[in-house]
Amino acid sequence: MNDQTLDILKACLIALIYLFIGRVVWVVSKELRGTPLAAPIPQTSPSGPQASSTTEQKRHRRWRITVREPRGLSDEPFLVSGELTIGRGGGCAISLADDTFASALHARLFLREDTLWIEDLGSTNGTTVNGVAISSSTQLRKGDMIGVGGTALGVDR
Amino acid sequence: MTTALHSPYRQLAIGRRRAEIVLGLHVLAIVASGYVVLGLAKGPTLPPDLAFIAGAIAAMYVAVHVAIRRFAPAADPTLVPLIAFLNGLGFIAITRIDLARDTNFARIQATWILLGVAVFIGVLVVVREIALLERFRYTFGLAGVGFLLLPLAPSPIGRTINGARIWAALGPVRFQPGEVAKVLLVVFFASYLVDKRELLARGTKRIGRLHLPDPKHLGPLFLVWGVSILVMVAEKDLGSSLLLFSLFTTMLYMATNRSLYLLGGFGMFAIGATVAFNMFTHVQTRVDTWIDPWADAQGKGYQIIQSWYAFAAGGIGGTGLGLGSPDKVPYAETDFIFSSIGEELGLLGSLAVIATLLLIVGSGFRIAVDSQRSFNQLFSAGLTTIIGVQSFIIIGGVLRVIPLTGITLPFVSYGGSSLISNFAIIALLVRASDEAAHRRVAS
Amino acid sequence: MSSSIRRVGIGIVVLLGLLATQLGYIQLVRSDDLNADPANIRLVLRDFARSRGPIVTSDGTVIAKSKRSNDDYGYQRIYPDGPLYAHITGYQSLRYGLAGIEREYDDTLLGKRFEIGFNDIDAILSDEQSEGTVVLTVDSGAQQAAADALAGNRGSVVVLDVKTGGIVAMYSNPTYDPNLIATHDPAASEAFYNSYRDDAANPMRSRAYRERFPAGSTFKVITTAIALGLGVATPATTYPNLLELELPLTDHKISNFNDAKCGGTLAVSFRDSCNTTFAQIGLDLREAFARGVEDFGINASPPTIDLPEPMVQSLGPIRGSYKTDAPSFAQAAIGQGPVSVTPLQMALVALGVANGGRIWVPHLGHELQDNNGNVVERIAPKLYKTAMSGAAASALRTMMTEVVRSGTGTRAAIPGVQVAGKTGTAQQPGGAPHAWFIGFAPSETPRYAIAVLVERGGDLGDDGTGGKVAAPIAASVFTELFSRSRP
Repeated sequence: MNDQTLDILKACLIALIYLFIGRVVWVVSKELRGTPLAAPIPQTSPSGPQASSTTEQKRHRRWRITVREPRGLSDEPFLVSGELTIGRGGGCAISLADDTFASALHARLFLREDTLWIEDLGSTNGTTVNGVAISSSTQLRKGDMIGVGGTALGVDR
Repeated sequence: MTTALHSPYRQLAIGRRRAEIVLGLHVLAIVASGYVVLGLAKGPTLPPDLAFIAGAIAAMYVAVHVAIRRFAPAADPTLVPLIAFLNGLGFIAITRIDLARDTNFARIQATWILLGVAVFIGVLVVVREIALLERFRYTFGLAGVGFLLLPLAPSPIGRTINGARIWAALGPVRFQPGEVAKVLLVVFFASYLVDKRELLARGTKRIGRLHLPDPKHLGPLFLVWGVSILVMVAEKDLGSSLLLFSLFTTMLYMATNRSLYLLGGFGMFAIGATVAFNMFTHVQTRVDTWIDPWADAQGKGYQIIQSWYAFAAGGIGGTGLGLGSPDKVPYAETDFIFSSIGEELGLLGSLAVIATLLLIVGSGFRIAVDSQRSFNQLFSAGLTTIIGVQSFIIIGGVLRVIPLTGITLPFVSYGGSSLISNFAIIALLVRASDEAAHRRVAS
Repeated sequence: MSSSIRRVGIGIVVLLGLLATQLGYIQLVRSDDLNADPANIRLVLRDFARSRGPIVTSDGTVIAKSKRSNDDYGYQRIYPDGPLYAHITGYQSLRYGLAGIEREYDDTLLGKRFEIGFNDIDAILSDEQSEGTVVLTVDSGAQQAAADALAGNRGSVVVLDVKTGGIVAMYSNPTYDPNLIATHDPAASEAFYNSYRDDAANPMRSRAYRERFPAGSTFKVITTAIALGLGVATPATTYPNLLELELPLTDHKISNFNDAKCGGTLAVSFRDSCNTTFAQIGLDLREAFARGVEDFGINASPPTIDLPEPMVQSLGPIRGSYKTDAPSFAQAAIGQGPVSVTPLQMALVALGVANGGRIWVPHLGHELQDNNGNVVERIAPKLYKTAMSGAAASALRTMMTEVVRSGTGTRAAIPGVQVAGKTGTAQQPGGAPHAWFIGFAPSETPRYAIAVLVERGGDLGDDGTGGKVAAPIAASVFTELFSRSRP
């Protein structure tokens, strides 16, 4: 076996090693940023070139809330415009009729400028963001996971 | 708890296990390419059944993954792939040295890995909750000290090999009880310190401006100091002695958050070490060799100089697997395995090992910080400290950052006792991590 | 507790960072000098485990090759003509590493430098060692003729290809046997190496480019070129017929060879090598002399040759010293005083005249071949300096031809080919003078330039002059070179 081939193979091996380390770092940083690995962000690719259509872009930049758990409850994301309420009651925008751990009017999602916020409305079991219970209005980021009673909701935009 | 409440936890679990699989496949690709490269470089001299053995080791890691899925599903996804990487790299390095020396360490190492995996799964199954360990703290503490002193038992049990009395024989099986002792002692230290930390931190006696705790609470500290000096003197095992002492002192500091303990602890160790330096020639030799290995290049300094030559020969990119002469360094498969990696994979390879150790230590401390119960925190931090400090002691020795003391490089070096106890450490961290995940999503 | 845990975590990270720093120090900063440590044999061991390609002369004579050895190492390097090419090939030694061409072209000999395309599957999968061959510009006949003509006398012969700067022959006496140092027996290797090293004659040092000697009258070629170039003199300029020339500022005098009267036109003075004439020219040139010699490589950084040991710098009249030390300019003009040159440097001077003023960088490598004999690289001529105008070179060529036809260098003449040159007999305290000859042939369309140095007049001692001792050696080497038809 000649040297060049072995050199190339050696370089590949080292590249592979660093790819692995890079991947671990990526996983760790994702965990540290508080983005649970459980929430893969659904990638809806834009139908046209992004820069050419501003309306297209605008539509995709709207906040969407998707029920992640329990599965099969609703596959359609809820688009946030203005305000959304979450709760067991039928009047809520996101109605969780079957979740016995959710309060009737449990939490409220609202937009401030272009940012999305969540506020617990005095629920019995509290509201969590990425597993951490919130005590006041909390800003949400893309990829966050909201826990309301036994329901998990994903934040996308 | 209902299924509904479990949901975020389960989702975290699914995501983390998925990440673990991806990372695991990366490691598999690395180790497989490593074997191919070694095979191409060495041609037909590579024993054909080694590929089979390597495959069996890969299967072992699949078993580890399955066990985690079953028993600790939301545990950290990076730990096992990281140790698998070190383990695989070490296995290749050992195989490589076998080829040069015509020895058979790789096969034996494979057996040890098998046993290590069994212990890993066993720990995961038996220790369903970290809190369980706390109940048996004195049992663990006594057993730890017992194991530590076992090599000093009379001849059929205690054994002196290579000048260090760190071996014990039970029937035909020889092992280093010190490796087991370190895990047992962490359990004891953690629960004892969590219990007494208020008393130790506050300080009831006042001397000048210093608030010192009641001496009776300091008893165990002196005991451990005594034991580690005994290990250094009677077993001539400087590495384990240093590890033990660093472990206890840092755990004391972590529990109390008082830097006085850190200073006092290392001050005491320095005094002990100075006395030992003046009384025992083997300690003097180590230090002299560290300061100037070239003074006796063909004798006492030989190992460390050959190790430096190996690193230098590797340069940035290494000589390539199978193309260096790692067998020129004594104890290449145990103490000096890092030199082999540095030679054949170069600075890039050796830094990858350091990076991996950093990531393991990082994961360990993250688990500690994420944990809810104090015991879990201190216990996880203690276990991680073992991995970190032990790696530092041996790599630092090989690189001449500190005096060389024979100890294994976790997961890389050849050696059964160390491999098994390190697998147990990772299993315990995996358990702690799963418990922390419960807290994270189900608060 | 979290904060103290974090702090301990950071502490351990710092410790591991310390290790990474030390790794960088050993593997980057110290790597080269640890690898070069004579006590470190691991790189050498690795090199000995594989075959190296041969070193061959331009006419195909193998002067270094690898042979399988029946010891732990793998291959033994063999030098079939040992001492003849020792200063060129160097050696591959377990104890002392690589020297000479072995070192300079190590990558080629090991086949490391050949690029293999990804589509060249056969090459990638082949088990063959991809060793390479180094073909030198050296001609085995000329090299052998140089050694034979020196006949054991201390000295050096350098022959250059006028059109390329390729070294056709470079031989120095005394020499050594590289086989004795390349032996795998460490004790023998060390013993021979030490005896060579302790030998006062320094056989391991090539006199051709590593040692300096006073140039004597061969330096008049440079003096003349500068004077012609600046218009300070023409071949027809007449100089007085003198017994001796008094030097300014001192009571020193410069006399002619054999204390004879000498002078006339520049051309005649050149043919008869009149010291009085050239000393006067040196004084006339003033500072321009010191500036001019630099165009030949004297007092300038020497050309980079393809050997690990650099060519040593040749010395001449020092810039800015005319005011304080005019006599040294008169001395320098006849190749004495501050002048101290290597034979290779003087060969470059001869090449400059032969090549219309342009001096090439000398080189030993001709072409590098892969193991299938394909040429991977051909070493191209590289200009070192333009020393003089074409007109000055042409005038000098005529004068140098006259030296061999009817002057001091008649013994350099060979039948059938007109040789041009200049002799020199250089005084140096401590013994008989050194005999020199520099020149080229054929004089009209030069192909080879030569420099011959015989230390201390060789066999003739005090009776040895450049014309008697050095010129005949040039003649034998030229005879060998022109006896065969060559491309």
